[in-house]
Amino acid sequence: MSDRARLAPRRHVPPWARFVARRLAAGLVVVWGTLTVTFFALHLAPGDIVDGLIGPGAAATPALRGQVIAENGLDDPLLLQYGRQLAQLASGGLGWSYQLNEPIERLLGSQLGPTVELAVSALVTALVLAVLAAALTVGRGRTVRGAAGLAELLMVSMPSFWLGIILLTVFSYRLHALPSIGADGPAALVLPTLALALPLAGVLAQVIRQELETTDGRPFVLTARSRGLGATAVLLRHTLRHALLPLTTLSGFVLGSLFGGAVLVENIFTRPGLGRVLANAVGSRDLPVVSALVVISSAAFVVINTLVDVLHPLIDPRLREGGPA
Amino acid sequence: MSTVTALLDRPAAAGARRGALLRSPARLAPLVLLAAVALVLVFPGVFATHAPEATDVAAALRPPGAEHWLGTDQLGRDVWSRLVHGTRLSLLIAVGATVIGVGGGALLGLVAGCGGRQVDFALMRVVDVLLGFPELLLALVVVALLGGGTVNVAIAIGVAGVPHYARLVRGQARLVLRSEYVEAARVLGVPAWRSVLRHVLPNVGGPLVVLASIGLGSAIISGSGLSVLGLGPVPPDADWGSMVADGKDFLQTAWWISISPGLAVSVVVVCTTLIGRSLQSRAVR
Amino acid sequence: MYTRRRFLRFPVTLTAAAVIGPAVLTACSDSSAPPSAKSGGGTLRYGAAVEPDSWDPHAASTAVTGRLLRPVLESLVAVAADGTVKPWLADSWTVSPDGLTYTFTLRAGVTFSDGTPFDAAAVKANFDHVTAAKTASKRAAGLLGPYKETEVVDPRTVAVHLTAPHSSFLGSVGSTFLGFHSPVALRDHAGDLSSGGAFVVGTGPFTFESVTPGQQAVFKRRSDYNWAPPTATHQGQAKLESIVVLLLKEDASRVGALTSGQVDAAELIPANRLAGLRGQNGVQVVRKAVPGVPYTYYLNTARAPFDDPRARQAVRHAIDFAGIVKGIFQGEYEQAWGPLAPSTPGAEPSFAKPAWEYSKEKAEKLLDEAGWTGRDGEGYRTKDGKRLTAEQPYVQTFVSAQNHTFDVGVQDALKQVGIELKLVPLDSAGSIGRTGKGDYDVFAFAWQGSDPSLLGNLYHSKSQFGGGGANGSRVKDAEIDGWLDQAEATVDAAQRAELYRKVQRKIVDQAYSFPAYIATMDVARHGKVNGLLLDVDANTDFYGIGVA
Repeated sequence: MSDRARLAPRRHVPPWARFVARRLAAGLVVVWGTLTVTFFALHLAPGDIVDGLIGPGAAATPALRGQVIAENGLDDPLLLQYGRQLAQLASGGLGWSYQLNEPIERLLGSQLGPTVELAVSALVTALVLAVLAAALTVGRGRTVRGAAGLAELLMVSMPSFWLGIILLTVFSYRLHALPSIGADGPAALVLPTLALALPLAGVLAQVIRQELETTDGRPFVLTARSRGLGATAVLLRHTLRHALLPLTTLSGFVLGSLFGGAVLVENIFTRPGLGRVLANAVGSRDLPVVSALVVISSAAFVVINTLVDVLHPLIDPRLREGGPA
Repeated sequence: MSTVTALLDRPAAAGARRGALLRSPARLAPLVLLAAVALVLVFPGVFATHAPEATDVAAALRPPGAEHWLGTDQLGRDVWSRLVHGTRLSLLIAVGATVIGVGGGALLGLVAGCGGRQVDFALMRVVDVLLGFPELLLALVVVALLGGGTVNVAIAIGVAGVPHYARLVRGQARLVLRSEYVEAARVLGVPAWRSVLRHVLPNVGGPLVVLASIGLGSAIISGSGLSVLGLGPVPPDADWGSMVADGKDFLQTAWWISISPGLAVSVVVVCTTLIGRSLQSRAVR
Repeated sequence: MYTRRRFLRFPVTLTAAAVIGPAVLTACSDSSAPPSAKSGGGTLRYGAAVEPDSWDPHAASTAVTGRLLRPVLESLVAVAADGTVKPWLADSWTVSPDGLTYTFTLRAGVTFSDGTPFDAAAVKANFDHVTAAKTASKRAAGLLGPYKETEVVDPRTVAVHLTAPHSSFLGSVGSTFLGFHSPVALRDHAGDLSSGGAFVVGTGPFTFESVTPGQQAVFKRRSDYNWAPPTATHQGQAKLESIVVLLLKEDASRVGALTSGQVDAAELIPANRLAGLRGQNGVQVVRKAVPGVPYTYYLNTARAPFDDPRARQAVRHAIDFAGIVKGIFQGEYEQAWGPLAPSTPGAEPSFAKPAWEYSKEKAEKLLDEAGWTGRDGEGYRTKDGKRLTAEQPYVQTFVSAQNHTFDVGVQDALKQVGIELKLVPLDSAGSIGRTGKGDYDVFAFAWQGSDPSLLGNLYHSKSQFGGGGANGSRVKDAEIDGWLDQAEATVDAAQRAELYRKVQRKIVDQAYSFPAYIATMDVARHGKVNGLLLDVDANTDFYGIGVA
């Protein structure tokens, strides 16, 4: 609530700030909704929370069960527990992992870095590959575009885990060219990045080519040409910028496919990261960890979407004057 | 993964539609392939050379050859026969998930599209929240709540697909309901639900089939992905994803265990995607 | 509190010998590289197969916690390869005639790496921490057994009082699970110990620098270390400057890391990779049979169908253990016959040889006799129209890929004689619920350890699941109970050993459970690693390792 008060529009606040504030407030509601849904789903899910908290290996004696229930306030009314969870989250705490017997923020803190590293490098790789593929094939003959289309289709249809396995078998086990595991240095990043980036590049290349084709006949391109700019310069300075614009609307999908893919890719390559934590937590039904990750990804989604909306007018000159709509 | 469905959100992006790719021989190939897969699905016994779960420890980890076309796994089970029998489970999970997704999405979308403004607003915010999640993440959360296994995996992927279908149906429903002939019907005293039945459903059906045919591909990928994580069918049942998982530790010595089921997933997804796109381009025209 | 300790007692007993001193080294097949005499230094990168559930041995349940923290946390005594107990942080000790009080005289001059002296108060603080309710100890409290209290007699003398005799107590205190944290760490960071890293402070030759969950743990040499036990290969500071333990759960990636040189040594090499690795230049495999309870199938004797001994024997006859072991482990592991692996001190020697035969005909005959004569449409046996079905719950995260494959092999073998084995994947909470209620027919697990008192936790009628034990077969056998109780109370080593042998013979005779295979700890190393030996528990001893 205090966030909201701080962000509330005041008299001399510029319109963009008001816009950001409004978006973040709406985002906060989304995060709160996600949290609420996961909280109740967690508590209504079959399976005993007490057994989960005691964990494997320990003797779940009545005395120990009683102690665990008392310590965690599990006999309190559900609404009270819900309130407590909100308060805990507001103070930055994410809860306690059943399985790993550790505060979740500590668990995730160490795993966030590798996942962000992988996601960013995959995103950059995918964008570069997609732009290259689109720019090289746009306006070419049927054969070139057909081949490109087929290649992109294959990329899109290939599950990332399968791609990962192929890459591992060929480059790591057969050729011994690249390490198979870990998150140690840039070499270990190559194969997982490719496994994650190639399917994404397939999608992005199609979108970009489509945009390049429609942009090609636009007046500003013709004007630029008439000013004597070469084809490459026009492509780089004008057309491409336009072609990249619609990508911003795909940001949610891109983010999703990066995180979803990371779950499998981190697993295949035994990389540390949030995806691996999630897969393990789901396997052992470590529900507090699952719900913490859900809340975090919804927050990330809100932040990135807001960012994209804010940056949109910076990329698109037409929107710069009127402010974000 | 919503890789495939993402393209549908931007119909124009299926750019290859006038390209060489979809001219008739190319359009026929995926249909023929899928028909073959369907045959395998219905009559696995005809194609399999061994019982899929029969172990033969004396013949463990044999490379592909005359006796075992695709080799054997660590318990001496025939990989080809397991692949053949796994077809049914892999595709049933995907089809089941798509049915759940389309059904749930259609219901949600119709209620939102035909209901009042508040209902629409509330439901669409829920859909927005769900759309914010990667399908695989959403499916994982459902598996975390329900536990693993064949049926739960299908439910999980189905639920994860609901928001996509819901948005499509809702949009179509609103278009139709705002059209003049439905307005006219209302003026004439035809109840709203009858308009829904008579006009909305038939209009929504077409795009829904297109989306579902493409969504089937991502359901196969998601389903096998969950199985790779060890959350899918329980032995002796096996789908393609769990076969990949079984062979993961043997990649260095026996690549054939994992590679062939992974290839099967890719081929089927390519086929369904191609068919979905040709349906789509026909609808757009 | 008392109740909890009492219930936890058995799980502890079972791990009593779980992790004994790093000191006890046995000769291994690794004869090519004699340990270098000079302390060289350097860093060892080690691929570990399991990630601890907690880095506080007092709280942890995973054996790997003890294995990886042995270089940091030390114990009062060290256990030698032959099971005898040697002085370590205690110079000497006495046991009261009633077996209820153990008085230790502590070694002088030992300090924790934070500078705190090791004294009687430190011992008391640790044992109190183990038994504190808040610690929720999963192994350590059980090791202490019927613990009553610790008494500080003077700074160098400490007395531990028990409420009942506990014959495996002395061996138990040699375990890393009863190793000593700095009392300062216990006071200031009790809640952080499970996270590991710099929070864990001990007296050992290495300090725990940092840990990245899912990735690695880093240990650094302590230069002023000078109190290695007599069982160690050398004295003074460790040979390695630092140890980086990479946590590589997946077999493929652990082996891959070794072959690509990302690690210098890797543990638990899967059997199907051994042959390939041995051929590679410079790679040596150090191996030792893992003592304790092999991967064992426990049949629930408390309900049908396995309340009938004929059904249990039929299952035992029906499975081609030798064939499955050979197939899955490529001839690297042996079939097991007894409740304890032959390398465990106190194992019945006759079970080093075949104790029953593989015979489908015998299995079919026994099932016919037990009344399972009908057949249903799928070929499974029936009695009174009911199918012969057995459920085996398992927790995916705890069952290794090989053991899971083994289960699938058993499933197919049983199908061939008309028994349906359903594998039921559960999460750990679900598994605790079902095993606690006895709602299963088959349950399988292994338990590492090197003392026959393990048997008490697995076969005593008081050791049921949910009551603090792991009596997987739900055995309620008065004769076995009597022998186990006597063995626990006796001070006569020979009598104790004979009692445990009787227990083992009866288990096999009644087919309460049957083991699958004898696991071997295979640690592969590159040529530059020397002095890599495995201790009595088949755990890597880091203290003696050097890197060229």
